[in-house]
Amino acid sequence: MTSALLSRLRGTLRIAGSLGHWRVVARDLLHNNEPLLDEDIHLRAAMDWLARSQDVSGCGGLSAGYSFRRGWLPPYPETTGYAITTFLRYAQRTDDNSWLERAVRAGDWEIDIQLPEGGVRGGQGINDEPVVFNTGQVMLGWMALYRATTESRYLQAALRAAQWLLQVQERDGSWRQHTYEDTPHAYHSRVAWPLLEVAEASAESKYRTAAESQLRWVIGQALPNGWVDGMSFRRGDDPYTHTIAYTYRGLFESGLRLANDTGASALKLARLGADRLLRRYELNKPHPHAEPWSLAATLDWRWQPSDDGSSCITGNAQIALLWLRLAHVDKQQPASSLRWLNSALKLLDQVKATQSVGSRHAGIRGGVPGSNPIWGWYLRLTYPNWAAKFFADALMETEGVL
Amino acid sequence: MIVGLTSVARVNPYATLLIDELRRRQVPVDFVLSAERGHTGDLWERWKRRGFAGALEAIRRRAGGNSPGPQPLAEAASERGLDLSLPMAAVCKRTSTRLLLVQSLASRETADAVRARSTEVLINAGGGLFRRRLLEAPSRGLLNAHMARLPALRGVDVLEWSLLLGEAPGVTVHWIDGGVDTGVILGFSPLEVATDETLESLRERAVVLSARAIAEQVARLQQAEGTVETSGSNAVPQYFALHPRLRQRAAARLMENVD
Repeated sequence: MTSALLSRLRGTLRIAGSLGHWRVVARDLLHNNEPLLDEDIHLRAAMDWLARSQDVSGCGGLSAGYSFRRGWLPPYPETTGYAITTFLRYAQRTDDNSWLERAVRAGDWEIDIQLPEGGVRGGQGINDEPVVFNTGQVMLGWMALYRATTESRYLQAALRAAQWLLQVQERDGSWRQHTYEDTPHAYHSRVAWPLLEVAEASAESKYRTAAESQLRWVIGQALPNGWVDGMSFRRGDDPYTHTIAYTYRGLFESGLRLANDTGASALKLARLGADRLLRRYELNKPHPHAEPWSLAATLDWRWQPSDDGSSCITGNAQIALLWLRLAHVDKQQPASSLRWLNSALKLLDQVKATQSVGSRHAGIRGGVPGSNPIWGWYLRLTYPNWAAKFFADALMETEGVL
Repeated sequence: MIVGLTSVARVNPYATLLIDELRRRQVPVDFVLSAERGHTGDLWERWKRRGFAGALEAIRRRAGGNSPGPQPLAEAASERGLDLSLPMAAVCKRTSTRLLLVQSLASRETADAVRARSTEVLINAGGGLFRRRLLEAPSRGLLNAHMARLPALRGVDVLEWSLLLGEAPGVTVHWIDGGVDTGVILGFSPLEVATDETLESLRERAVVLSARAIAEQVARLQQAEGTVETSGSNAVPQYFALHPRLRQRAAARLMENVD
């Protein structure tokens, strides 16, 4: 009891003890957004923040983020895994091998802590329980490293992980064990995607079969309006835009990798969901020529906002990235491509407006908050590494589309 | 035929031009329905959305001067002897048009006022999205000039979208229904692109063309001439306000075409 109180007190003192924290709170209270700068400045700041989050952990993994209450958080295997793809892309963009080295350090750390059965550890820090979603996300990193370095250890790690995923998959294609709250989730479409990458690299059709089975399960949860049931962390809760974006991105990337009916259905559903998100965003404004208001943090099955007191900035960066991917794929159809691009640029501006590039605080400078305002429900008072990662991904994707 | 205009700006060059174009075709405007929103309202909206920086930007934009290049609105005004900087109240006084100041174009009282005047045609000269009660108040409907070809390009900033997508710029006159630019189409007038054209000047040229195109259609309706009507469609996607970077690209596209 006393230690809990002391811990709370310490947390409160930590929040109140930093001028950097106060500046962010004051900024959000006054709606005084950060200035929109050159794209390169925002990108570099986000990448430097990601690098700091790796350096503070000292192990190769990326700290889960910076919290006003708890400072730098323990390393997070799941998001370290997919941050690898961001490091690799930035290395290619800047022709700077130090980013490749960072990706390798992260990938090797993931191999070091991979569980013997092949799964990836859930949660922050080093836990014993493997989690399906986290395993898929790290596989994306290993596969990207395998393509970049041709080092077989990354493919082997991904194959062990894929094998474990197949072992714990249900007959209907869903995953119920080793999942958050032991329930199946529609955002496991993002697990089908790395399984398809592994299937392609290993020429093993069982991974493709497992991925298709998962996709069919997700597609089976869809309503006629494009909404997919089961996108939230907890059954019965309205999902954050963060997990909504996960779901449609997983469907989209998987659909691109499958030249059959399941792939076509996945792509169709991803497009429908992305379009509903675009309309939700663009039509929420005081008048047709105005900039849209921020997307609500959570939406319900009618695509209506259910928590519009705050915006999930992480989800916004992911949604912008999804639209940019669509813009990229539709490049030969300008009417479609430019429409996606236009909305993505606007949404990204709203993410930029939350990134403090000039802060003297190492946990804040270049980071992207979980929520806006910073005290919003999604990761309150925290700068998660995956917000910076998806933001950086989106900025780099923009270059490919513009 | 009883014709009215909607307006939300204190100074409304488009409405001023429209009144003139209609008068030249012997179609007097009976009234202007005005729900003026002041500069303070705009600032408050910006503050809510973009905070202090947004409000400052609005002030800067307001203080900004004219861009270089042709100025079609000024030229049109000078040809017609019009002063486009006059407030609507003064324009109405000069042209013996009633000015009906209303709290909101969306209110029931406003729709009742339109109906009470036995209005046949209401013309959109500002007002954004209209409530069904106002759409149904005039016996023939509410007319709009849309700055692109319909039904292909629904939405806003469509003049710029036309340039981006390589479509011929122009103005479509159509009846407004409950959807976004989905109402019955009366006609399309192409817009010529001049040399030295900028986005601003092209938009001004589209404003001048809109006033002319809509006045022609209203004159036709008054003379009971047959109009060619085409169905609108909501099967095509809606286009939304352009991000500044795409606006820049549209401007560049325009320069390429002019060159």
